[in-house]
Amino acid sequence: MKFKYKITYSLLLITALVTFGGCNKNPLDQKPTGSYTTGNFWRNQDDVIAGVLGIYNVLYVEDWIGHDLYAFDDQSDDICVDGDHPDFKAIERFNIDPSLQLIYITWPFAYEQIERANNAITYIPKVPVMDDAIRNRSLGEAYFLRAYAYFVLNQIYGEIPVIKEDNVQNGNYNVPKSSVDSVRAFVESDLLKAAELLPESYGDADKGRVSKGAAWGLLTKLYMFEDKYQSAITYGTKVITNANYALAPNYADNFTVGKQESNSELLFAVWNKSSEASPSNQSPISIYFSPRAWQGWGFHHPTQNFADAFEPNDTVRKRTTLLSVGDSIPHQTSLNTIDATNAYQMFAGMEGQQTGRMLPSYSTTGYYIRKYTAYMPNDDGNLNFDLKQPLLRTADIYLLVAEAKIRMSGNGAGDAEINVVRNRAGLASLSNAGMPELIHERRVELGGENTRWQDLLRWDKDKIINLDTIVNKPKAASPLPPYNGAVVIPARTFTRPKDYYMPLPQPVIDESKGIIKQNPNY
Amino acid sequence: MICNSKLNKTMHPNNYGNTPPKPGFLPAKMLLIMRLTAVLLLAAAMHVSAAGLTQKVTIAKKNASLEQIFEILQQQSGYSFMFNSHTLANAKKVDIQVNNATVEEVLKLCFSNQAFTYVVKDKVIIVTPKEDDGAGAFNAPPPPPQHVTGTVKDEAGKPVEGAAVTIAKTTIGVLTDKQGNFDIAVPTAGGYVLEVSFIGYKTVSKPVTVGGAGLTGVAITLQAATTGLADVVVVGYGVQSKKDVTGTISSVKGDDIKNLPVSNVATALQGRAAGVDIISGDGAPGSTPSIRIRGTGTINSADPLVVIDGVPSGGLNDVNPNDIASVEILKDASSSAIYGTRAANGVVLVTTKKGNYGEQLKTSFNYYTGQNKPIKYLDMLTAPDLAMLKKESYTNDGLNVPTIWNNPYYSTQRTDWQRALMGKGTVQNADIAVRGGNSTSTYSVSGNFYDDKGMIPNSYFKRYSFRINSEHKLGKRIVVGENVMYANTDGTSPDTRSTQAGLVWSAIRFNPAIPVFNADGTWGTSQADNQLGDINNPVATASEKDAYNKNDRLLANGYAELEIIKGLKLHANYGYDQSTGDNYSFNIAMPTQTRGPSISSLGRSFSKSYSFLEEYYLSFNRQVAPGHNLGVTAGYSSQIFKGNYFSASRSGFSDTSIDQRVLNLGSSQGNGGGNYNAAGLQSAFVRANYSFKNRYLLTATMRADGSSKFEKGKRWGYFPAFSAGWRISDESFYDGRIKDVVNTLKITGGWGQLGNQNIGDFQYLSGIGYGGGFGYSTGTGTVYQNGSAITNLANPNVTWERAVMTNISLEFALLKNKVYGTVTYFNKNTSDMLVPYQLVETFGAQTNLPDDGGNITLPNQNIGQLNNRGVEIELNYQGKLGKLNYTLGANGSFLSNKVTKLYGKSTYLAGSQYGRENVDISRTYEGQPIASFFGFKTAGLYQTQADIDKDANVANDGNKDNIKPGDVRFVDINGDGVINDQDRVNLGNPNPTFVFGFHGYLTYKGFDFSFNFAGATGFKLYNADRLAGLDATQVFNWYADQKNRWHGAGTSNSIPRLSNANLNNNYRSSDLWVQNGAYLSLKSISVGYTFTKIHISDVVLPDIRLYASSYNLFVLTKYSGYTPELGYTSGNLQRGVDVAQYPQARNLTIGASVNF
Repeated sequence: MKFKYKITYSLLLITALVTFGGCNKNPLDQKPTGSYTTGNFWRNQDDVIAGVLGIYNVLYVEDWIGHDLYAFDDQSDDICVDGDHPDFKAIERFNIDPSLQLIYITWPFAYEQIERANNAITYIPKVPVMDDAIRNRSLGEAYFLRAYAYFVLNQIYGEIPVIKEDNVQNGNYNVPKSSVDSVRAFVESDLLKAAELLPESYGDADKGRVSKGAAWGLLTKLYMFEDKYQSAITYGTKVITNANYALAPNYADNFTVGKQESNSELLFAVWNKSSEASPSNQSPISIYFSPRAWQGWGFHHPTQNFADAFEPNDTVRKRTTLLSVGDSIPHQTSLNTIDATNAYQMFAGMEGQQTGRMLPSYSTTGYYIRKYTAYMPNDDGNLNFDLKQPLLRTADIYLLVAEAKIRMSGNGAGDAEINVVRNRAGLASLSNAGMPELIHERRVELGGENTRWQDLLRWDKDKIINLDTIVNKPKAASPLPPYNGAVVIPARTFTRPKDYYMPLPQPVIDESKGIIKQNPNY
Repeated sequence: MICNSKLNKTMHPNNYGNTPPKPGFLPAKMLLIMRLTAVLLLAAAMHVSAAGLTQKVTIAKKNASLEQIFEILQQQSGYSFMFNSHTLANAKKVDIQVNNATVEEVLKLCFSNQAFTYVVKDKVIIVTPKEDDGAGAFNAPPPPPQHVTGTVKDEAGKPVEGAAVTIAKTTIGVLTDKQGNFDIAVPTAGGYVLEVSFIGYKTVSKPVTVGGAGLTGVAITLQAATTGLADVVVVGYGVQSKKDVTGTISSVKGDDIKNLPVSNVATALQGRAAGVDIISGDGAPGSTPSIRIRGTGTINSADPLVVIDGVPSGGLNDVNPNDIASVEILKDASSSAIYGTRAANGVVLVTTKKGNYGEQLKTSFNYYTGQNKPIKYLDMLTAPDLAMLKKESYTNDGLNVPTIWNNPYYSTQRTDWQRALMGKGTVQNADIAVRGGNSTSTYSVSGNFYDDKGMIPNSYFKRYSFRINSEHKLGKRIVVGENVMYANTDGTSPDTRSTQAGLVWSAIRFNPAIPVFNADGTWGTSQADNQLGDINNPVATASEKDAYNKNDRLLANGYAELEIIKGLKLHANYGYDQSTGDNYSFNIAMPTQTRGPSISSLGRSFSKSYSFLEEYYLSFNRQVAPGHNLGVTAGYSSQIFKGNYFSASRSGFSDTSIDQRVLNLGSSQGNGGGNYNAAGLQSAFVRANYSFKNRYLLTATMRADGSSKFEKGKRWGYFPAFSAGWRISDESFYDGRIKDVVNTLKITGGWGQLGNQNIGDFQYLSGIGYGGGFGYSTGTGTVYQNGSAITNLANPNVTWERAVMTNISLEFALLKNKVYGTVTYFNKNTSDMLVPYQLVETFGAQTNLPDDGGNITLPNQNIGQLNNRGVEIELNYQGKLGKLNYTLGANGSFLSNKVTKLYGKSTYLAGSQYGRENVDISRTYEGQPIASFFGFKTAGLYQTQADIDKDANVANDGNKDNIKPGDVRFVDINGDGVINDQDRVNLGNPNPTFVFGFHGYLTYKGFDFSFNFAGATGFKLYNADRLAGLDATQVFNWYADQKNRWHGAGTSNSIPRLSNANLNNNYRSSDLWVQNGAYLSLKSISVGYTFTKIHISDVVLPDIRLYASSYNLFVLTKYSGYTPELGYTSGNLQRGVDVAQYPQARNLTIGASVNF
C-alpha cells in the first residue's frame, strides 16, 4: 500500500471510529416499543379510562358474570337446570366435588377482574397529569369492581385468597386463604373507598358506570350478610333517599331495551351492546335464559313453586319475570309448529299451525325466565343483545333496608320500604310486615336475578328459615298438561355447614402446593 | 524439475551439476513430471527393489534426445527419470534400436560418450553430469555454488534427522543427516531465506546472507508443533500461548473443515471437539444445526455466544467456512467468563483468515461441485398390500369395508412417493481469496458463492459472500484494521415438520395407487375418497412452491491499538452487525388438492435487525520481575440491539403467472403487521494472567454485565472466575524415565460463574393489550369503547440465569510429544434457570381455559436448576511412516444431564404434542434429563383371550372387555389393575451420554486423505413417524412393517392387530416407539492430490489440488427411521423425535483448489 493511500485509509478509519465511538449511549436504558407494558402505559387520562373499561370488560365473560354464576342459583327452589351441563346438575343436587367444571371455571375470571383492578389501583395515582375528577372516579370504579369480585367469590366459596395491589407488584400470587370475615372486611374497605371517590351520578356519556349509589348499595348488601343491620340501614338509606337512584316508574323498565340506559334504579348492570363486529361486547346471559326454539339455549327453567309465589294480582312482576306456555315476546319471529305433544288445552284444535307463542315442548316446567330475553326490533328473529343485565337494583336495597329494620326493630319496622316496592308493582300496601312477608317480597321482586339462593343461605344461617323444608321438596312442573305437575328434580338433602359454601376448585388447591387449604367437609 | 523438493530424499546439491538453476525456473515437460511424480509415489508404495534394471524394453529411434528416450523408457519400464533438462539439453542426440533389451543395456547405450552419468535409487534413475568431465563439454562454466551448512536441533538440543532444508522460492533443498547437519548449495552469494521444516515441528524461516565463501554453522532450533502445545489460541480479547492457558479451549483449524459441502461452519465441527455436540437441524439446504457445549444448560436458549473477529454476533450461517482460520470453543468458566453475560452456554470464537506481514500476495481459488441423495428411503406398503390390510382392519372391527378398497384402481401400485419427492440435489461452491502484506500492512479479500439445491424440488440455499480485512501499522505504536463481511443468502425449505402439510410426512403417507400426474396432466390427488386421507400430493406441493427467504448480512468492525508504553496497549473496537430479511411466499390456489388453498395468497415481510458494539480495553503483558509474567486485560463493552419488521399479505389473485405475483394484484387485503424492538448490554471486565517461571499459572476474570432485559436493580450481574495451572513437566524434579514417557504434563483447574440473559425483553413489565377486545360500553346509546388490560404478567424479579462450573483438566504429551491429549472433568450447575411461572389460580384467566377470556400469559421465574457434568477426552497423534505423514485425532465426551429443580416433584415442562394424535411424547421432570420421553411401558401383545382374562395389568380395568388378542399389553406401573395416565413413566433419555468423533489427515507426497467420523451412544430416539405409520386408525398409507402385524396367536408381539376402532388405544405414547439412537456416521471423507511447482516451459503453474469428498457417506445405526440425527422439535424441551424431518443427504463432490 502506497504511503498516500495509507494516510487516506487511516483518516477514513479514524473518522469512522470517532463517528461510531460513543454511539452506545445508555445502552441499558431501553424502553418497550410497539407494544404497551406497565412501563409505557398509564401515562395519561386516556390510558386510565381505557384501563378501567378493561376491568368492566370482564363482566361480559360467559363463565363469570355473563352467565355461569347464575347456575349456582339453581340450588334454590326458584329454578331448575336443563341442558347438557352435568356439572350444573351436580351442583343443583348438592352432589358436589371440587373437580366440577362449574366450581373451577368461574374462579380465574374473578381473579382476572381483580388483577385488572389491582393494576388500575396501582397506576392511576401515579399518572402525572389528569383531571382529578376522572382520576377519583376511575379509582373508585376500580375499587368497586375489585370489591364486587371478592364479594361474589366470598358468597360462593367463603374463604378465599385475597390478592391486593402489592401482591401484584411483588409477583406474590400464591397466598393462603383469608377468613370469611377478613374477606368481607376487605370488601368493605374497598367499597368505602369507592363510595368516597365515585360521583353520585353521570352525564350522558358515562351512564353505565358505577356510582356512589352502587357502592352504598353493595355495602348495604354486605352488611346484611354480616348481620350489621344499623350499617345496612345507614348505607341503604343513602341509596333509597337519593333521587339519583329512584325506582323506575315501571317494574318492567329494568328489563326492557330502551328503558334501561337512563334508568336510575339500575345501580349496577352489565352494559351490553349488540354488535356483530365484536361478539365480546355483550354478556351471553340472554342466550342461556331464552328458549332453544327461540335462539337461546334454555338452561334454566323456573319451577311451579316459584310461579305460585306471585300473588294473584302481582301480574306486572309475574309477566315480566316468567314466560309461560302460550306467551309471546315482541319481535320474536321464530314460529314453531304445534304438534301432538304441544296440543294441550291451550293449543287444542291448533295442531299443525305455526305459532310464535311459547309451546309446552320448550320447557320441562312450563316456564322460562323472561327478564333476559328481547328480540331485535327489525324482526330478524335475533336476540337483542342491547339488553342490559341488572346486577344491583334500588328495589333490592329497599328490601334490604326493610329487612334490617324488621330484624332490628321487629314486625312493621320495614313497612315503608316494602310498600314502595309493592306499590311500584301495582300492589296494595302491607302493614306490620314480618320476615315471611319480606322473604316473599324479595323472592318475587328479584326472581331470576341470582339473589334467591344467597338469601336463603343467609336466612338459614340466621335460623330465620330452615333450608331443609325448602330443599326437601321436589322441584315440580306446571300442573297443566302435558306436565301434570311432574317432579323435575327430586327432593334433595342440604348438609350444614358443608353446603353453605362451594369447595375451592381442585386446581387451586393443587397448584398452590399446600398454601391453600380446601374448605372444611370437602 | 524436482517435485516436492522439501521431502525428496534423492535430492542432493551435487545432483544439480554446475548449471545454476534460475530460481523458479527448471524447464521440463509437465506431463512427464506429473507421471514421474506419480511413479515416484507408486514406487515407494510398492517397495520395488532398485536392484537390477532388468526390465525389457524395445526402442527404435534415430537422432533422439535423451529426454525422448527417457520418456519411452519410462513408458515401457515404469522407471522414472530425474534430471535437469536445462543441462541435459547439452547432451548428444542418440540413435538407438534395441529389441527386448534390458533397461540397463539401453542406458549404457545412451550414456556412452555423454557428459552425463546416472544413478538408480528405487525406481528412479537420476541423471547427473559427470563430475570429472572436462569443462569443454559446456559452453559457459557457471560460477561455483556457495555452500550453506549448519545443524538442525529440537528444543531439547537433540539433532533432528530428516528435516527438510530448502531455500525459499527455489526448489533447492536437502535433508539433514543423522547428526542434524545439512549442507545446501545456493547458486550465488547473496541473501536467502532458509526454510526448515520437519513433521511435528513448526516450520522455521531464517534469513541468511551468503558471502563469497559460503556460510557455515547455521544453527536452527525447531519447536515442536505436534501437540499444539506451542500453538497460540484465540481467547476473549486477545490471544494466549496454549501452554499458558488454564481454561479448557478446543481449537479447530480452518484447514480441517475447508471444502466440506456444508453451508454452515457448525455442521463441519461435528465430531471435532470434545464436549461440543453439534445437533443437526434437518437435511434441508441451509438448515442450521444447534451447538451444545457441555450439554444443554438451560431450557431457554442454550446456544453459545458466537464471536466473529471480536464482534459478538448472530449465527454462523453467513460465514463461508473456507474463510475461517480457526474456531476456538471456550468451554469452561475460566475461559469464557470474560464474556460473562452470554457465556453460560459456552463461547465460539471465529477468527477469519488474514494476510500476513511481509507475505507476498497469495491467491487461492477453489471450486467444488457435487450431488446430494437421500441416504435411505422408508419401506412403505404398496397399493395391493395397503388395500388388503385396510380390508382386514375393517373386517376385524366387524365393519363394512369401504368400497374404495375393493376398487381395483386402488390396488394397483403407481407411485413410490418418497422417490417421487426426494431425488437428486446438487451443491456447488466457488471461492477466491487474495491475501498478502508488506512490512506495515496486511490485506485479505475473498469472495464466495455457495449453491445447494436440495433433494426436494424448490428447496435450496444460496450464499454470496464477500469479505475484506486489512491491518496497518501507523508508525511504531499504532495499529488499525478492519474486518468487513457482506453475505447475501437466499433459501427456502419446505414444511417438513407438520402432520398436516409436511412434505416428507405426506410422501410417506400418500396413497401409492395415485399417480403423480393424472392422464390429463393434472396433479394426482386424494380428493376422490376420504379413505385416501386429507393430504396433498407432495410432489404437487413441492413443485408449486414459490417462496424465498432472502437475507443480507453486513458484519463489520474497525479497531485500533495504541501501544502506550512497552507492553501496555489500548484497544478500541467498534462493530456493526446487520441482518435484513426479505420473505416472500406465494401460496397458489390448488382446489384439486385436498388441503390446497381455494384462493391464491401472497405474503411478504421485511425485517431488519442490527447491533452496535463499542469496546475499549487496555492490555498489559510483561515480565514484571525475573520469572514473573503478568498479563492484564481490562475494559468496557457495550452493545445495542435493535430491530424492526413489517409484513403484509393479500389474497385472491386472478392472474397467478409467475411474473404477476405482487401484492398489488391481490384482490383482498390480508393482515398487515409490524413492530420494532431494542435491547442493550453494558459490561466491564478484567482478566489477569500471572505465571511464575512458566510453571505456575493463574488466571482470574471478572465481568460485570448489565442487561436492559431486567428491571433496574436486577440488571447487573457479576461473574467471577478463577483458574490455575501447573506445568509439572517443567519442574526440575520431573525428569528421567517419566519424562521420556510423558513428555509434557500440565494440570489445570478452575471455577467460575457465567450468565445467560437470553429471554424475551421486558419481562419485568406487564404487557398490556389495548383495543376492542378489552373494551366496554357506556353512555346513552351504549357506545362501545376500547379498553386495555394486562396480557402478560410481570415478574419484576426476573434476572440472570447463572451457571457455576468447575473444571479439572490434565494435559499431556507422550511419545516425543507426538501424542497430545487432554482429559477434563467438568461439573456445571445452572441455577436461577428461567422457567415459566407455574400456574397459580389467582393470576387471573389463563390461556389454558376453554371458552373466552383466557388472555394472560405468564412470565419467567428464576427458579429452575440443571446439572450437566461429564468427562471429555481429546487425543491427537501426529506421526510419520516413511513418506506417509498423518495426523489422527479422537475425542469423546461423557455427559450426564439432569434437571435438578423445577417447581416440585411431580411437575414438569411439556414439549409440544405430536401430530394428529396429540401424543404427549416429551416431558421435562425434576430429577430427570431434559426432554425425556414419556409414556406407557408395554409387555408385548396379548396373544389369546386367556392372556387378557388373567392379566393382572387390567384386572380392574373398566376397558377390559374391549381388549382383544393382538392388542398391546400396557404395563400397570402403579399396580391398581387399571391402565390409566397414572401408569406413564420416563421412557428414555434423548440426550446422548457419550458423544465421540475421530478424524484423520494423511499425506503422502502430493496425496492427502482425510476423514471425520462422528457418533453418539447412550440415548434413545422416539420414532413418532413410525407410530403414525403403523397406526391402524390413520387413513393414510402405512409402513411396510404393517404386513408383520398381529393376525393370529404368535404372529407378532410388537405390531398390534389392525383395528380402526382401536378400543385399547394401542397407539398412545409407549416404549413401542422408542428406539436405540446410537450411531456412527462417516461425516466427511476426502481424498486429494496436489500438483506443485509444475512448469510449462518457462511458466510455473500454480499449485493445484484436485479432490473428491463425501459428506454423510454412511451411517451405522439400528435406528429404523431416515436418520438418527433428529435434532430439536420444540425448543430444548423436545429432542430426538422423528416427525419426518427433511432427511439428511449423502453428498458426493469433486473439486479443485489452486494456490498461487
